[in-house]
Amino acid sequence: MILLGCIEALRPVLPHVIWFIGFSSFAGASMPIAIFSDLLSILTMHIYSFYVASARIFNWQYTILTSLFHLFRGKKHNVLRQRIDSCDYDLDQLLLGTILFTLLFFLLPTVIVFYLTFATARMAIISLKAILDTMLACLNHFPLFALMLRLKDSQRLPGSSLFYLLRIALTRNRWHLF
Amino acid sequence: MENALKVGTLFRNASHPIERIFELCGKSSMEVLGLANSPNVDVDTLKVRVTTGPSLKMPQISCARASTIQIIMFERPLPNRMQYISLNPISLALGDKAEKTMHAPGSVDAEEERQEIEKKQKIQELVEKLKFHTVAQHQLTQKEGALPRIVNQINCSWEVHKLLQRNISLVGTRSRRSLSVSERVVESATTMRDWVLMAIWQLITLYIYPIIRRGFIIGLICHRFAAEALLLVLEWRAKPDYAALKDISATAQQVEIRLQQFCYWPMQYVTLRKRKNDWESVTTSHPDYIRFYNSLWLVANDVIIGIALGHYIIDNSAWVAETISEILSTYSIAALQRTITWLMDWPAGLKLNNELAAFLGDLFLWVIDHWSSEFCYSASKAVN
Repeated sequence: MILLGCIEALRPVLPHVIWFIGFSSFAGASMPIAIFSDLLSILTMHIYSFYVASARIFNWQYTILTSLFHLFRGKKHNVLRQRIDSCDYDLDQLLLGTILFTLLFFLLPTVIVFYLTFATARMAIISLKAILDTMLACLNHFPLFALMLRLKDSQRLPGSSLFYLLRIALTRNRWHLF
Repeated sequence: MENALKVGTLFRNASHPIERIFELCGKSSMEVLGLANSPNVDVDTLKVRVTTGPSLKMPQISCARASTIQIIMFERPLPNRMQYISLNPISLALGDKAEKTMHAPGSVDAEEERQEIEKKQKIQELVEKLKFHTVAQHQLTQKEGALPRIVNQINCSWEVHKLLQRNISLVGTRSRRSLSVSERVVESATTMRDWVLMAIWQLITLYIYPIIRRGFIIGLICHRFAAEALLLVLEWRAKPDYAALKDISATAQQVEIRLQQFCYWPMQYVTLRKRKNDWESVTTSHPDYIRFYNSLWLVANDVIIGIALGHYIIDNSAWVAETISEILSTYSIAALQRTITWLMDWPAGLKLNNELAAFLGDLFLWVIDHWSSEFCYSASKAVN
Protein backbone atom coordinates (compact mmCIF):
# COMPACT_ATOMS: atom_id res chain seq x y z
CA MET A 1 0.00 0.00 0.00
CA ILE A 2 2.82 2.35 0.86
CA LEU A 3 4.42 1.56 -2.46
CA LEU A 4 1.32 2.41 -4.46
CA GLY A 5 0.96 5.65 -2.59
CA CYS A 6 4.56 6.48 -3.33
CA ILE A 7 4.14 6.09 -7.07
CA GLU A 8 0.97 8.16 -6.95
CA ALA A 9 2.86 10.91 -5.15
CA LEU A 10 5.82 10.76 -7.51
CA ARG A 11 3.71 10.86 -10.65
CA PRO A 12 2.89 14.60 -10.64
CA VAL A 13 6.55 15.58 -10.09
CA LEU A 14 8.15 13.43 -12.76
CA PRO A 15 6.59 15.18 -15.81
CA HIS A 16 8.16 18.46 -14.64
CA VAL A 17 11.55 16.79 -14.36
CA ILE A 18 11.14 15.20 -17.77
CA TRP A 19 10.08 18.52 -19.22
CA PHE A 20 13.23 20.10 -17.78
CA ILE A 21 15.36 17.32 -19.27
CA GLY A 22 13.67 17.90 -22.62
CA PHE A 23 14.55 21.59 -22.52
CA SER A 24 18.11 20.90 -21.44
CA SER A 25 18.58 18.82 -24.57
CA PHE A 26 18.59 21.98 -26.69
CA ALA A 27 22.15 22.41 -25.37
CA GLY A 28 23.08 19.13 -27.01
CA ALA A 29 21.98 15.51 -26.76
CA SER A 30 24.74 14.84 -24.27
CA MET A 31 23.02 16.99 -21.62
CA PRO A 32 19.84 14.87 -21.20
CA ILE A 33 21.94 11.72 -21.19
CA ALA A 34 24.13 13.12 -18.41
CA ILE A 35 21.11 14.34 -16.43
CA PHE A 36 19.40 11.00 -16.86
CA SER A 37 22.52 9.24 -15.59
CA ASP A 38 22.52 11.48 -12.51
CA LEU A 39 18.79 10.92 -11.99
CA LEU A 40 19.38 7.19 -12.10
CA SER A 41 22.03 7.37 -9.42
CA ILE A 42 19.82 9.55 -7.19
CA LEU A 43 16.75 7.35 -7.54
CA THR A 44 18.65 4.15 -6.84
CA MET A 45 20.55 5.54 -3.88
CA HIS A 46 18.91 2.97 -1.56
CA ILE A 47 20.45 0.12 -3.55
CA TYR A 48 23.85 1.76 -3.26
CA SER A 49 23.51 2.13 0.50
CA PHE A 50 22.35 -1.50 0.84
CA TYR A 51 25.34 -2.57 -1.17
CA VAL A 52 27.71 -0.59 1.04
CA ALA A 53 26.14 -1.97 4.21
CA SER A 54 26.21 -5.60 3.11
CA ALA A 55 29.73 -5.23 1.70
CA ARG A 56 30.88 -3.80 5.04
CA ILE A 57 29.39 -6.74 6.94
CA PHE A 58 30.84 -9.24 4.52
CA ASN A 59 34.27 -7.58 4.72
CA TRP A 60 34.28 -7.67 8.54
CA GLN A 61 33.30 -11.27 8.60
CA TYR A 62 35.88 -12.17 5.99
CA THR A 63 38.80 -10.51 7.79
CA ILE A 64 37.76 -12.01 11.15
CA LEU A 65 37.48 -15.44 9.53
CA THR A 66 40.94 -15.24 7.95
CA SER A 67 42.63 -14.23 11.20
CA LEU A 68 40.74 -16.90 13.15
CA PHE A 69 41.74 -19.45 10.53
CA HIS A 70 45.39 -18.50 11.10
CA LEU A 71 44.81 -19.01 14.84
CA PHE A 72 43.24 -22.37 14.10
CA ARG A 73 46.43 -23.40 12.30
CA GLY A 74 48.70 -21.94 15.02
CA LYS A 75 49.88 -19.04 12.87
CA LYS A 76 49.45 -15.31 12.96
CA HIS A 77 49.75 -12.44 10.56
CA ASN A 78 52.79 -10.26 11.20
CA VAL A 79 51.69 -6.72 10.41
CA LEU A 80 55.18 -5.21 10.51
CA ARG A 81 56.73 -7.60 8.03
CA GLN A 82 53.61 -8.33 5.96
CA ARG A 83 53.96 -12.10 6.33
CA ILE A 84 52.60 -15.13 8.22
CA ASP A 85 54.55 -16.18 11.33
CA SER A 86 53.98 -19.23 13.48
CA CYS A 87 52.91 -18.53 17.05
CA ASP A 88 52.29 -20.56 20.20
CA TYR A 89 48.80 -19.92 21.53
CA ASP A 90 47.48 -20.95 24.93
CA LEU A 91 44.78 -23.60 25.17
CA ASP A 92 41.99 -21.20 26.16
CA GLN A 93 42.90 -18.85 23.32
CA LEU A 94 42.78 -21.71 20.83
CA LEU A 95 39.49 -23.00 22.19
CA LEU A 96 37.69 -19.68 22.12
CA GLY A 97 39.10 -18.83 18.69
CA THR A 98 37.98 -22.15 17.23
CA ILE A 99 34.47 -21.80 18.64
CA LEU A 100 34.19 -18.28 17.23
CA PHE A 101 35.56 -19.49 13.89
CA THR A 102 32.93 -22.23 13.66
CA LEU A 103 30.13 -19.85 14.57
CA LEU A 104 31.16 -17.25 12.01
CA PHE A 105 31.79 -19.87 9.36
CA PHE A 106 28.25 -21.20 9.61
CA LEU A 107 26.85 -17.67 9.41
CA LEU A 108 28.91 -16.91 6.30
CA PRO A 109 26.48 -18.30 3.61
CA THR A 110 23.65 -16.05 4.81
CA VAL A 111 25.83 -12.97 4.60
CA ILE A 112 27.24 -14.01 1.22
CA VAL A 113 23.77 -14.46 -0.20
CA PHE A 114 22.70 -10.97 0.85
CA TYR A 115 25.97 -9.50 -0.34
CA LEU A 116 25.64 -11.18 -3.75
CA THR A 117 22.06 -9.95 -4.16
CA PHE A 118 22.95 -6.32 -3.60
CA ALA A 119 26.19 -6.60 -5.54
CA THR A 120 24.23 -7.88 -8.55
CA ALA A 121 21.73 -5.04 -8.26
CA ARG A 122 24.53 -2.52 -8.02
CA MET A 123 26.30 -4.16 -10.95
CA ALA A 124 23.16 -3.80 -13.07
CA ILE A 125 22.95 -0.11 -12.24
CA ILE A 126 26.65 0.40 -12.93
CA SER A 127 26.37 -1.29 -16.31
CA LEU A 128 23.39 0.90 -17.17
CA LYS A 129 25.44 3.95 -16.26
CA ALA A 130 28.36 2.58 -18.25
CA ILE A 131 26.14 2.37 -21.34
CA LEU A 132 25.07 5.99 -20.81
CA ASP A 133 28.72 7.01 -20.31
CA THR A 134 29.70 5.25 -23.52
CA MET A 135 27.04 7.20 -25.38
CA LEU A 136 28.37 10.40 -23.82
CA ALA A 137 31.93 9.55 -24.80
CA CYS A 138 30.81 8.83 -28.36
CA LEU A 139 29.02 12.16 -28.55
CA ASN A 140 32.00 14.01 -27.10
CA HIS A 141 35.02 12.37 -28.67
CA PHE A 142 33.98 10.53 -31.81
CA PRO A 143 36.52 11.29 -34.60
CA LEU A 144 33.78 12.14 -37.08
CA PHE A 145 35.67 14.82 -38.99
CA ALA A 146 38.71 12.60 -39.43
CA LEU A 147 36.57 9.74 -40.73
CA MET A 148 34.82 12.02 -43.21
CA LEU A 149 38.21 13.35 -44.32
CA ARG A 150 39.35 9.80 -44.85
CA LEU A 151 36.40 9.26 -47.19
CA LYS A 152 36.73 12.59 -48.98
CA ASP A 153 40.46 12.97 -49.38
CA SER A 154 42.63 10.34 -47.80
CA GLN A 155 45.84 12.19 -48.67
CA ARG A 156 45.11 14.61 -45.87
CA LEU A 157 45.57 11.85 -43.31
CA PRO A 158 48.94 10.34 -44.16
CA GLY A 159 49.84 7.10 -42.44
CA SER A 160 53.40 6.69 -43.58
CA SER A 161 55.27 6.30 -46.85
CA LEU A 162 55.17 3.09 -48.86
CA PHE A 163 57.28 2.29 -51.91
CA TYR A 164 55.91 0.07 -54.64
CA LEU A 165 58.30 -1.64 -57.03
CA LEU A 166 56.72 -1.06 -60.42
CA ARG A 167 58.78 -2.64 -63.19
CA ILE A 168 62.38 -3.34 -64.01
CA ALA A 169 63.31 -2.44 -67.56
CA LEU A 170 66.70 -3.06 -69.10
CA THR A 171 67.72 -0.31 -71.47
CA ARG A 172 71.16 -0.49 -72.98
CA ASN A 173 73.49 -1.52 -70.17
CA ARG A 174 71.70 0.34 -67.38
CA TRP A 175 69.12 -0.85 -64.96
CA HIS A 176 66.16 1.42 -64.71
CA LEU A 177 64.26 0.77 -61.60
CA PHE A 178 60.76 2.10 -61.68
CA MET B 1 68.58 29.68 -65.97
CA GLU B 2 71.05 28.75 -63.26
CA ASN B 3 71.94 32.40 -63.03
CA ALA B 4 68.31 33.31 -62.53
CA LEU B 5 68.04 30.82 -59.71
CA LYS B 6 71.12 32.25 -58.05
CA VAL B 7 70.04 35.86 -58.34
CA GLY B 8 66.57 34.98 -57.14
CA THR B 9 64.54 36.28 -60.10
CA LEU B 10 62.45 33.15 -60.03
CA PHE B 11 61.50 33.70 -56.41
CA ARG B 12 60.09 37.19 -56.89
CA ASN B 13 56.66 38.05 -55.57
CA ALA B 14 56.70 35.09 -53.22
CA SER B 15 53.90 35.36 -50.65
CA HIS B 16 56.20 34.29 -47.81
CA PRO B 17 60.00 34.34 -47.38
CA ILE B 18 61.59 31.68 -49.55
CA GLU B 19 64.26 31.05 -46.89
CA ARG B 20 61.66 29.19 -44.85
CA ILE B 21 61.33 26.61 -47.61
CA PHE B 22 65.08 26.27 -47.96
CA GLU B 23 65.32 25.76 -44.23
CA LEU B 24 62.67 23.05 -44.35
CA CYS B 25 64.38 21.31 -47.24
CA GLY B 26 67.85 21.55 -45.71
CA LYS B 27 69.38 23.34 -48.70
CA SER B 28 70.73 26.84 -49.10
CA SER B 29 69.55 27.33 -52.68
CA MET B 30 67.98 25.53 -55.62
CA GLU B 31 70.06 23.95 -58.37
CA VAL B 32 69.43 22.78 -61.89
CA LEU B 33 69.72 19.01 -62.10
CA GLY B 34 69.56 18.55 -65.84
CA LEU B 35 67.60 19.07 -69.01
CA ALA B 36 64.32 17.68 -70.13
CA ASN B 37 63.16 16.82 -73.66
CA SER B 38 66.07 18.44 -75.48
CA PRO B 39 68.07 15.66 -77.12
CA ASN B 40 70.21 17.94 -79.29
CA VAL B 41 71.69 20.11 -76.54
CA ASP B 42 74.88 19.01 -74.87
CA VAL B 43 74.74 18.66 -71.10
CA ASP B 44 77.38 18.30 -68.43
CA THR B 45 78.43 14.81 -67.57
CA LEU B 46 77.15 15.32 -64.04
CA LYS B 47 73.71 16.47 -65.15
CA VAL B 48 70.85 14.20 -66.06
CA ARG B 49 68.82 14.10 -69.24
CA VAL B 50 65.15 13.35 -69.05
CA THR B 51 62.79 12.41 -71.85
CA THR B 52 59.08 12.45 -71.30
CA GLY B 53 56.22 12.16 -73.67
CA PRO B 54 52.66 10.97 -74.03
CA SER B 55 53.84 7.62 -75.39
CA LEU B 56 56.16 6.98 -72.47
CA LYS B 57 54.48 5.88 -69.29
CA MET B 58 57.52 6.73 -67.23
CA PRO B 59 60.24 9.29 -67.82
CA GLN B 60 63.41 8.01 -69.42
CA ILE B 61 66.36 9.25 -67.44
CA SER B 62 69.99 8.91 -68.31
CA CYS B 63 73.15 10.31 -66.87
CA ALA B 64 76.63 9.90 -68.28
CA ARG B 65 78.31 9.41 -64.95
CA ALA B 66 75.85 7.25 -63.05
CA SER B 67 75.82 3.48 -63.47
CA THR B 68 72.48 2.79 -61.78
CA ILE B 69 69.57 5.10 -61.41
CA GLN B 70 66.67 4.67 -59.07
CA ILE B 71 63.54 6.60 -59.88
CA ILE B 72 60.91 7.15 -57.27
CA MET B 73 57.70 8.51 -58.69
CA PHE B 74 55.21 10.18 -56.39
CA GLU B 75 51.93 11.95 -56.67
CA ARG B 76 52.54 15.55 -55.77
CA PRO B 77 50.56 16.44 -52.62
CA LEU B 78 48.50 19.59 -53.05
CA PRO B 79 49.16 21.89 -50.11
CA ASN B 80 46.14 24.09 -50.80
CA ARG B 81 43.99 21.02 -50.19
CA MET B 82 46.09 20.30 -47.10
CA GLN B 83 47.42 17.07 -48.55
CA TYR B 84 50.86 16.00 -47.45
CA ILE B 85 53.00 12.96 -46.98
CA SER B 86 54.77 12.00 -43.82
CA LEU B 87 56.96 9.26 -42.45
CA ASN B 88 54.88 8.72 -39.33
CA PRO B 89 51.14 8.26 -39.04
CA ILE B 90 49.25 11.44 -38.23
CA SER B 91 48.40 11.59 -34.54
CA LEU B 92 45.01 13.09 -33.74
CA ALA B 93 45.19 12.45 -30.00
CA LEU B 94 46.29 15.31 -27.83
CA GLY B 95 49.75 14.93 -26.32
CA ASP B 96 50.06 13.15 -23.01
CA LYS B 97 49.39 16.25 -21.00
CA ALA B 98 46.96 14.62 -18.56
CA GLU B 99 47.63 16.33 -15.30
CA LYS B 100 48.52 13.93 -12.54
CA THR B 101 46.12 14.35 -9.66
CA MET B 102 48.28 13.71 -6.65
CA HIS B 103 46.38 12.87 -3.53
CA ALA B 104 47.30 14.41 -0.22
CA PRO B 105 50.38 12.72 1.24
CA GLY B 106 49.73 10.20 4.00
CA SER B 107 46.29 9.13 2.80
CA VAL B 108 45.60 5.62 1.56
CA ASP B 109 45.23 6.83 -2.03
CA ALA B 110 48.65 8.47 -1.95
CA GLU B 111 50.20 5.24 -0.72
CA GLU B 112 48.55 3.29 -3.53
CA GLU B 113 49.67 5.86 -6.04
CA ARG B 114 53.25 5.64 -4.84
CA GLN B 115 53.20 1.87 -5.19
CA GLU B 116 51.80 2.18 -8.68
CA ILE B 117 54.56 4.57 -9.70
CA GLU B 118 57.20 2.21 -8.29
CA LYS B 119 55.67 -0.66 -10.22
CA LYS B 120 55.76 1.36 -13.40
CA GLN B 121 59.41 2.21 -12.87
CA LYS B 122 60.25 -1.47 -12.39
CA ILE B 123 58.48 -2.38 -15.60
CA GLN B 124 60.32 0.39 -17.41
CA GLU B 125 63.67 -0.95 -16.18
CA LEU B 126 62.74 -4.43 -17.39
CA VAL B 127 61.81 -3.06 -20.78
CA GLU B 128 65.15 -1.27 -20.98
CA LYS B 129 66.94 -4.52 -20.16
CA LEU B 130 64.92 -6.38 -22.76
CA LYS B 131 66.28 -4.09 -25.42
CA PHE B 132 69.74 -5.60 -25.00
CA HIS B 133 68.41 -8.95 -26.12
CA THR B 134 66.82 -7.84 -29.36
CA VAL B 135 68.58 -7.77 -32.71
CA ALA B 136 71.10 -4.94 -32.63
CA GLN B 137 69.64 -1.76 -34.07
CA HIS B 138 71.90 -0.54 -36.83
CA GLN B 139 72.72 3.10 -37.22
CA LEU B 140 70.66 5.04 -39.69
CA THR B 141 72.33 5.11 -43.06
CA GLN B 142 72.90 8.43 -44.78
CA LYS B 143 69.98 7.86 -47.11
CA GLU B 144 67.62 6.99 -44.26
CA GLY B 145 68.79 10.03 -42.35
CA ALA B 146 67.93 12.23 -45.31
CA LEU B 147 64.37 10.87 -45.55
CA PRO B 148 62.65 13.56 -43.42
CA ARG B 149 64.23 16.29 -45.53
CA ILE B 150 63.22 14.54 -48.74
CA VAL B 151 59.66 14.25 -47.45
CA ASN B 152 59.70 17.98 -46.73
CA GLN B 153 61.02 18.65 -50.23
CA ILE B 154 58.19 16.63 -51.73
CA ASN B 155 55.67 18.50 -49.58
CA CYS B 156 57.08 21.82 -50.76
CA SER B 157 57.33 20.83 -54.42
CA TRP B 158 53.89 22.01 -55.49
CA GLU B 159 54.20 25.51 -54.11
CA VAL B 160 57.72 25.98 -55.44
CA HIS B 161 56.54 24.72 -58.81
CA LYS B 162 53.74 27.29 -58.84
CA LEU B 163 56.12 30.07 -57.89
CA LEU B 164 58.64 29.12 -60.56
CA GLN B 165 55.93 28.83 -63.22
CA ARG B 166 54.68 32.30 -62.37
CA ASN B 167 58.10 33.87 -62.58
CA ILE B 168 59.44 31.96 -65.59
CA SER B 169 58.46 34.78 -67.92
CA LEU B 170 60.83 37.13 -66.11
CA VAL B 171 63.89 35.14 -67.15
CA GLY B 172 65.70 36.79 -70.00
CA THR B 173 63.25 39.67 -70.55
CA ARG B 174 63.40 43.30 -69.60
CA SER B 175 60.81 44.83 -67.35
CA ARG B 176 57.90 46.49 -69.11
CA ARG B 177 58.08 50.16 -69.97
CA SER B 178 55.71 52.40 -68.05
CA LEU B 179 52.30 53.20 -69.54
CA SER B 180 51.77 56.21 -71.76
CA VAL B 181 49.21 58.92 -70.88
CA SER B 182 46.50 57.70 -73.24
CA GLU B 183 46.88 54.14 -72.00
CA ARG B 184 46.53 55.41 -68.46
CA VAL B 185 43.28 57.21 -69.30
CA VAL B 186 41.84 54.08 -70.86
CA GLU B 187 42.90 52.00 -67.91
CA SER B 188 41.46 54.35 -65.29
CA ALA B 189 38.15 54.52 -67.20
CA THR B 190 37.84 50.75 -67.27
CA THR B 191 38.71 50.36 -63.62
CA MET B 192 36.43 53.15 -62.35
CA ARG B 193 33.69 50.82 -61.22
CA ASP B 194 36.15 48.59 -59.40
CA TRP B 195 37.58 51.66 -57.75
CA VAL B 196 34.18 52.78 -56.39
CA LEU B 197 33.48 49.30 -55.08
CA MET B 198 36.89 49.26 -53.46
CA ALA B 199 36.19 52.59 -51.76
CA ILE B 200 32.88 51.38 -50.32
CA TRP B 201 34.48 48.17 -49.15
CA GLN B 202 37.26 50.14 -47.52
CA LEU B 203 34.72 52.34 -45.74
CA ILE B 204 33.07 49.26 -44.32
CA THR B 205 36.30 47.66 -43.23
CA LEU B 206 37.62 50.89 -41.76
CA TYR B 207 34.62 52.05 -39.71
CA ILE B 208 32.12 49.26 -39.20
CA TYR B 209 34.31 46.21 -39.00
CA PRO B 210 36.39 47.44 -36.00
CA ILE B 211 33.22 48.09 -33.99
CA ILE B 212 31.86 44.63 -34.67
CA ARG B 213 35.23 43.16 -33.93
CA ARG B 214 35.57 45.03 -30.65
CA GLY B 215 32.09 43.96 -29.55
CA PHE B 216 32.83 40.38 -30.45
CA ILE B 217 36.07 40.41 -28.48
CA ILE B 218 34.39 41.94 -25.41
CA GLY B 219 31.65 39.31 -25.62
CA LEU B 220 34.25 36.58 -25.86
CA ILE B 221 36.15 37.90 -22.84
CA CYS B 222 32.98 38.14 -20.71
CA HIS B 223 32.03 34.64 -21.76
CA ARG B 224 35.49 33.42 -20.86
CA PHE B 225 35.24 34.99 -17.40
CA ALA B 226 31.87 33.38 -16.73
CA ALA B 227 33.14 30.03 -17.95
CA GLU B 228 36.25 30.20 -15.77
CA ALA B 229 34.15 31.07 -12.71
CA LEU B 230 31.83 28.11 -13.36
CA LEU B 231 34.82 25.86 -13.90
CA LEU B 232 36.20 26.94 -10.53
CA VAL B 233 32.89 26.06 -8.88
CA LEU B 234 32.89 22.65 -10.54
CA GLU B 235 36.50 22.08 -9.57
CA TRP B 236 35.97 23.11 -5.95
CA ARG B 237 36.71 20.54 -3.25
CA ALA B 238 35.82 20.95 0.42
CA LYS B 239 39.08 19.20 1.30
CA PRO B 240 41.95 18.13 -0.93
CA ASP B 241 41.03 14.45 -0.80
CA TYR B 242 37.30 14.95 -1.22
CA ALA B 243 35.74 14.42 -4.60
CA ALA B 244 34.92 17.53 -6.59
CA LEU B 245 31.44 18.13 -7.97
CA LYS B 246 32.54 17.02 -11.43
CA ASP B 247 33.65 13.63 -10.12
CA ILE B 248 30.26 12.91 -8.57
CA SER B 249 27.84 14.10 -11.19
CA ALA B 250 27.85 13.25 -14.88
CA THR B 251 25.99 16.49 -15.61
CA ALA B 252 28.69 18.58 -13.98
CA GLN B 253 31.32 16.70 -15.94
CA GLN B 254 29.47 17.29 -19.19
CA VAL B 255 29.12 21.00 -18.45
CA GLU B 256 32.82 21.13 -17.65
CA ILE B 257 33.80 19.49 -20.94
CA ARG B 258 31.69 21.95 -22.90
CA LEU B 259 33.03 24.98 -21.01
CA GLN B 260 36.61 23.85 -21.52
CA GLN B 261 35.94 23.46 -25.21
CA PHE B 262 34.47 26.96 -25.38
CA CYS B 263 37.55 28.34 -23.58
CA TYR B 264 39.91 26.45 -25.84
CA TRP B 265 38.34 27.28 -29.19
CA PRO B 266 39.37 30.94 -29.52
CA MET B 267 43.00 30.07 -28.75
CA GLN B 268 42.93 27.21 -31.22
CA TYR B 269 41.40 29.46 -33.84
CA VAL B 270 44.10 32.09 -33.33
CA THR B 271 46.85 29.49 -33.73
CA LEU B 272 45.18 28.21 -36.86
CA ARG B 273 45.02 31.75 -38.24
CA LYS B 274 48.77 32.03 -37.77
CA ARG B 275 49.10 29.26 -40.34
CA LYS B 276 48.22 31.83 -42.98
CA ASN B 277 51.50 33.68 -42.32
CA ASP B 278 53.54 30.76 -43.51
CA TRP B 279 53.82 28.59 -46.57
CA GLU B 280 51.00 26.13 -47.02
CA SER B 281 53.58 23.37 -47.32
CA VAL B 282 54.42 23.59 -43.63
CA THR B 283 52.49 20.63 -42.29
CA THR B 284 52.94 20.87 -38.54
CA SER B 285 49.55 22.46 -37.87
CA HIS B 286 47.39 20.06 -39.89
CA PRO B 287 46.55 17.78 -36.94
CA ASP B 288 45.48 20.88 -34.97
CA TYR B 289 43.23 21.90 -37.82
CA ILE B 290 41.59 18.48 -37.93
CA ARG B 291 41.17 18.43 -34.16
CA PHE B 292 39.59 21.89 -34.07
CA TYR B 293 37.07 21.17 -36.78
CA ASN B 294 36.36 17.74 -35.33
CA SER B 295 35.30 19.27 -32.03
CA LEU B 296 33.22 21.91 -33.84
CA TRP B 297 31.48 19.21 -35.83
CA LEU B 298 30.85 17.11 -32.77
CA VAL B 299 29.22 20.00 -30.93
CA ALA B 300 27.08 20.85 -33.96
CA ASN B 301 26.01 17.22 -34.29
CA ASP B 302 25.31 17.06 -30.59
CA VAL B 303 23.04 20.10 -30.77
CA ILE B 304 21.19 18.77 -33.82
CA ILE B 305 20.53 15.38 -32.23
CA GLY B 306 19.69 17.17 -28.97
CA ILE B 307 17.00 19.31 -30.63
CA ALA B 308 15.36 16.24 -32.13
CA LEU B 309 15.53 14.38 -28.83
CA GLY B 310 14.26 17.38 -26.89
CA HIS B 311 11.23 17.76 -29.15
CA TYR B 312 10.42 14.10 -28.70
CA ILE B 313 10.79 14.22 -24.93
CA ILE B 314 8.72 17.39 -24.53
CA ASP B 315 5.96 16.09 -26.78
CA ASN B 316 5.73 12.77 -24.95
CA SER B 317 6.68 13.98 -21.48
CA ALA B 318 3.61 12.41 -19.79
CA TRP B 319 4.19 9.00 -21.33
CA VAL B 320 7.97 9.09 -20.65
CA ALA B 321 7.37 10.07 -17.01
CA GLU B 322 4.85 7.31 -16.51
CA THR B 323 7.15 4.69 -18.03
CA ILE B 324 10.09 5.81 -15.93
CA SER B 325 8.12 5.75 -12.67
CA GLU B 326 6.67 2.36 -13.61
CA ILE B 327 10.11 0.89 -14.30
CA LEU B 328 11.55 2.41 -11.15
CA SER B 329 8.84 1.08 -8.87
CA THR B 330 8.83 -2.40 -10.41
CA TYR B 331 12.55 -2.96 -10.52
CA SER B 332 14.15 -0.87 -7.81
CA ILE B 333 11.52 -1.33 -5.09
CA ALA B 334 9.04 -4.16 -5.70
CA ALA B 335 11.54 -6.60 -7.22
CA LEU B 336 14.03 -5.90 -4.46
CA GLN B 337 11.42 -6.46 -1.77
CA ARG B 338 10.38 -9.74 -3.35
CA THR B 339 14.00 -10.91 -3.57
CA ILE B 340 14.68 -10.10 0.06
CA THR B 341 11.55 -11.90 1.20
CA TRP B 342 12.61 -14.89 -0.86
CA LEU B 343 16.11 -14.83 0.68
CA MET B 344 14.61 -14.89 4.18
CA ASP B 345 12.87 -18.19 3.47
CA TRP B 346 15.59 -20.71 2.51
CA PRO B 347 16.19 -19.67 -1.11
CA ALA B 348 16.65 -22.49 -3.64
CA GLY B 349 16.78 -25.13 -0.94
CA LEU B 350 19.77 -23.47 0.68
CA LYS B 351 19.48 -23.81 4.45
CA LEU B 352 20.47 -20.40 5.71
CA ASN B 353 20.65 -19.34 9.30
CA ASN B 354 17.06 -18.37 10.02
CA GLU B 355 17.72 -15.80 12.69
CA LEU B 356 20.45 -13.90 10.86
CA ALA B 357 18.55 -14.00 7.55
CA ALA B 358 15.43 -12.69 9.25
CA PHE B 359 17.40 -9.95 10.96
CA LEU B 360 19.16 -8.78 7.81
CA GLY B 361 16.06 -9.11 5.64
CA ASP B 362 13.88 -7.19 8.09
CA LEU B 363 16.51 -4.50 8.34
CA PHE B 364 16.71 -3.99 4.59
CA LEU B 365 12.93 -4.22 4.10
CA TRP B 366 12.41 -1.65 6.82
CA VAL B 367 14.93 0.68 5.17
CA ILE B 368 13.21 0.26 1.80
CA ASP B 369 9.83 1.03 3.34
CA HIS B 370 11.20 4.01 5.16
CA TRP B 371 13.01 5.30 2.13
CA SER B 372 10.07 4.98 -0.22
CA SER B 373 7.61 6.48 2.24
CA GLU B 374 10.03 9.31 3.06
CA PHE B 375 10.40 9.76 -0.65
CA CYS B 376 6.63 9.92 -1.08
CA TYR B 377 6.30 12.25 1.81
CA SER B 378 8.80 14.80 0.51
CA ALA B 379 7.52 14.40 -3.05
CA SER B 380 3.89 14.95 -2.04
CA LYS B 381 4.97 17.89 0.09
CA ALA B 382 6.71 19.42 -2.92
CA VAL B 383 3.54 19.05 -4.96
CA ASN B 384 1.20 20.55 -2.38
